[in-house]
Amino acid sequence: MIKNYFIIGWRNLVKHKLFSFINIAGLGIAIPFSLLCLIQVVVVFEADNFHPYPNRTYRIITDIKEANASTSKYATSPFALSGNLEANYPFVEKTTPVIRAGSWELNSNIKKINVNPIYVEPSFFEIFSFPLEKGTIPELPNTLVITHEMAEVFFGTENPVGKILTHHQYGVFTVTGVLKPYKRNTHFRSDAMVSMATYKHFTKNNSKDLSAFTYVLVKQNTAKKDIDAALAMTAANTNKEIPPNQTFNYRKQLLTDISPAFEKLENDAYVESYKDIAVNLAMAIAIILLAAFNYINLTLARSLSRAKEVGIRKVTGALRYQLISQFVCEAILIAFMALIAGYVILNLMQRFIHLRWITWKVDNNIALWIVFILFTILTGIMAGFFPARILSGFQPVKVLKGTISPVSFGRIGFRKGLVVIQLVATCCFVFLIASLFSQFKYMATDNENFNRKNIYNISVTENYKLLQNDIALNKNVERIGLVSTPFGGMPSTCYVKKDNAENNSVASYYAANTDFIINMNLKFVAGKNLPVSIGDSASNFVVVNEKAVFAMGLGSPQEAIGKSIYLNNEKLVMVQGVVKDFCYSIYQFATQPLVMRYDPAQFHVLSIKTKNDLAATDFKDEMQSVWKKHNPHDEFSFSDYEKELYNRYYPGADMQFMGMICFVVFVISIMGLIGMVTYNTEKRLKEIGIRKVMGATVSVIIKDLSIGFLKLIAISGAICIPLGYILSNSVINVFAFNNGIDLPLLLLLFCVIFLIALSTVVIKTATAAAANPIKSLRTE
Amino acid sequence: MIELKGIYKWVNTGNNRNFLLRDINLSVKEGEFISIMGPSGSGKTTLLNVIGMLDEFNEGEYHFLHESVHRLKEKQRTSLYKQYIGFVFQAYHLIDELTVYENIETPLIYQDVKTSERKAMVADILDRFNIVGKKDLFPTQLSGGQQQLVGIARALIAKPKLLLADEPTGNLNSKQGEEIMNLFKELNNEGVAIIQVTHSEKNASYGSRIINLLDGMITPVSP
Repeated sequence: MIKNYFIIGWRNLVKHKLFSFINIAGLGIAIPFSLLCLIQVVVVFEADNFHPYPNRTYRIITDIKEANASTSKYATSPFALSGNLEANYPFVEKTTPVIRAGSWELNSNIKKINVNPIYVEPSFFEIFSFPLEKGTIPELPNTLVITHEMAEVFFGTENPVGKILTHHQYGVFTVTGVLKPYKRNTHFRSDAMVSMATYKHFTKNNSKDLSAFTYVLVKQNTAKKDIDAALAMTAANTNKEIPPNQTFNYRKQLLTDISPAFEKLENDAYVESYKDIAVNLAMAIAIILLAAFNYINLTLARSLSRAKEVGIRKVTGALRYQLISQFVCEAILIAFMALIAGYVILNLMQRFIHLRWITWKVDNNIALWIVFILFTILTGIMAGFFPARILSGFQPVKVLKGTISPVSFGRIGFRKGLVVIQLVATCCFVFLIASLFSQFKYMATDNENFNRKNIYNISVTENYKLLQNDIALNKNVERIGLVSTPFGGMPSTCYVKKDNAENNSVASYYAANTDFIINMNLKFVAGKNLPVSIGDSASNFVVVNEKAVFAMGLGSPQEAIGKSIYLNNEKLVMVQGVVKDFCYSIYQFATQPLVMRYDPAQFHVLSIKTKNDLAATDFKDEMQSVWKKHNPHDEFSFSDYEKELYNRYYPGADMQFMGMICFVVFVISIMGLIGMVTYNTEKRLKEIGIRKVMGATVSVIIKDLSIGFLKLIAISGAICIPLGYILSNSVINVFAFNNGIDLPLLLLLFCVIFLIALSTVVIKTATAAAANPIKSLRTE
Repeated sequence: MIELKGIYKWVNTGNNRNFLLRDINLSVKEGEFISIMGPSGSGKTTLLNVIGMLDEFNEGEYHFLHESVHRLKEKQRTSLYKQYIGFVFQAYHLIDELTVYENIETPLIYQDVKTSERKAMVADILDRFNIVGKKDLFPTQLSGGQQQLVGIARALIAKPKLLLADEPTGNLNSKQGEEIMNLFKELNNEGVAIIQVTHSEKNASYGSRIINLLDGMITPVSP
């Protein structure tokens, strides 16, 4: 019987190609996003599944009971716990503590990059599977291993082993090895693994701090109660040393039970909780429900085409449940075709979209496909059951007599409301994305804040003078600025105040020379540029921005000129000029006070301004040959400033992804409209026929049929323009430096969306109006 | 086989009660061939639908093979008629998406007949109606007469005791109509009871008894 259902389902699909296409496409474009959500769910269950002893590796977690009986749970435990357990209990084979270090900025002289390191003991590499690609594990203080990806970022194709990375506080680190690429989905996710000896060297440990993750590998066949007893005993010992208002309690957690987290633990970094899973699942279902809703709408709108079949089947003895299962089977068939389409789209997305926060691959593909298939069946049932119930309820007598009209659900007002909501939501969403897009575009391209056109940056070390002179000889070079770090990156900070009695204000500090400020086209509101100097010592003049003048309370910019201020508590420097506030780093934040000063010890970058219309690659080659003359052994680091900033500020992959979501939401809402129009025209088919026989022209009928929808569209427009504007405005205002809302762009998008909606209505009604009236009026 | 006692059926339009059937008393014996005649709107099709259990009635009693139909639930009625009654329609009402073979097979599927048995039964009836060569065609590829043959084949496939036909020749030309009527006669001779609705005196004469309906009531007429 099921086979029969699928046969007729298939023939129906083939017979009504357009509607099948709309249905499959509608579900098919929604499905990849649902599949993505499902992948994220499956991935959570596969976290840290690559270690050698999953069944006897435990993490020790801590419950702290306060005097007021409230308990907080931590994923971490005291640093000393690891050593205690290993020393005192024979069933323990190995233990290892792991500490997360927070974010570090490491500097390879060419590149400064933020990394995310963890401290590990050598035993870490015995309990967990993080094999090395090259070199050895870090044991001595100030040694570390880095990931494969980091090695590429820092050192390119060179061998990183033995190379140096500098940290501003902990000094020089030696890279002892490179990790093989490992699965990203682990709670040990990091860019570098630093020797625990480093941690011990720089940090005085307090035994009560829950600073470390403690991992215990127990011997085979260890009874669980032995571990619990040992933990209870250790906790009792700890509790003697801590203030009496707190009690510690240790618990074990099997490695495989860490992800997903079913209880909320503090410090539980990179572990997804069951809530994340629920959110992902809910998203998957919400997306597909949107699309399924359209399927329901469309299927019901076309219910007449199936009514006769229902009537005949009932007369030949079909029971209602048999008809319901037939229609549900059909919906499942459609859902599976949509799954195929969706899977193809998913693969295309994977090829073109590279987002770090999305995982595309799982280890257990069979499990994934089981999840996909179950989800597809669920989709089919969700989409198919409702229309099936209604269709199967047709009375055969009425159907065969031909006195039945298309069915739908809910009141007509409800469905009209849905169409309006769909259109408004689409528009607002598109507006938001478009506004974000234009903001990113503004940030990524040349704007009024500082000049980035015709600027090329070369990173240099101390001896740049000769190089600078040689570069100046190049006929294309207009001016060479010197700076500590170009605008756009993170500046270093300094402290300024008006006089000794006052509190310091934090300011961004740039070491810069006169030419750099000219290159950047900064606008002076008072005073003048730094005096030209080529000396080796820092000068006593500074240029500040308006915000700095205000922060220090120097009065108006004009009044500030010539005043002395304290820089970093010691040095008295004189304000030489005040520039207009501008964005030199992060567009979201309001301006910080800014101080620029000739400070040759801090110069790290030559900021070269060239003449117009220069081929960047040719210029790079020329510069490289000059560089090689002076620094034959060092790598040449050159950047086209305009391009560099574009790449930094323009989140291409995210925008692509957003764009796709926009498209999907748009298509779904247009399909909702198609469903409504179809329903309406099918319902009025007979009326149209009569009107035509009475002599109505096609255009009159089109007008008659579409006027109701035009009203809906007009209402949607009236709601979505102001609403979309307000929403876009609030998003744009997250950026302290913004370009305002690109109103023409929004209006253009609005017109496009509504023209498509309009033509959908007109095309559908025109087809109905053009039909031969004889057909619709004939009764059997 | 069929016993109708005082059947009334009405619809309410506004304040008026509009009677479709009034006090119908009718008994049909096994193997009878009855023609129902009457002008348009006299309630012929309604009566047929009531007998076929497709339509409900408001008052009266209906006994079918010792079952009291007016007391049955919908599910029981369905299982009763799918076992004993076959329908033939003026507009054939074949399922366009199914082939001739599959159309004929449909009632058997709903009676949970096994696949192998179904094959044999459908093959038999295709053979009998001389439409073996058409079994893989779709209804739209057939002439009206052929479609009606398929419709009759479908009605007979489950070996019903009663065949209900609503103007079976209404959409056919006279030659095709004659063939269908001869087929009915033949079936009747094999013991299938037939009730047909018809406008044509000639077709009515194939039956053994004629019932005249006017405004929902049976008018007495000499046989």
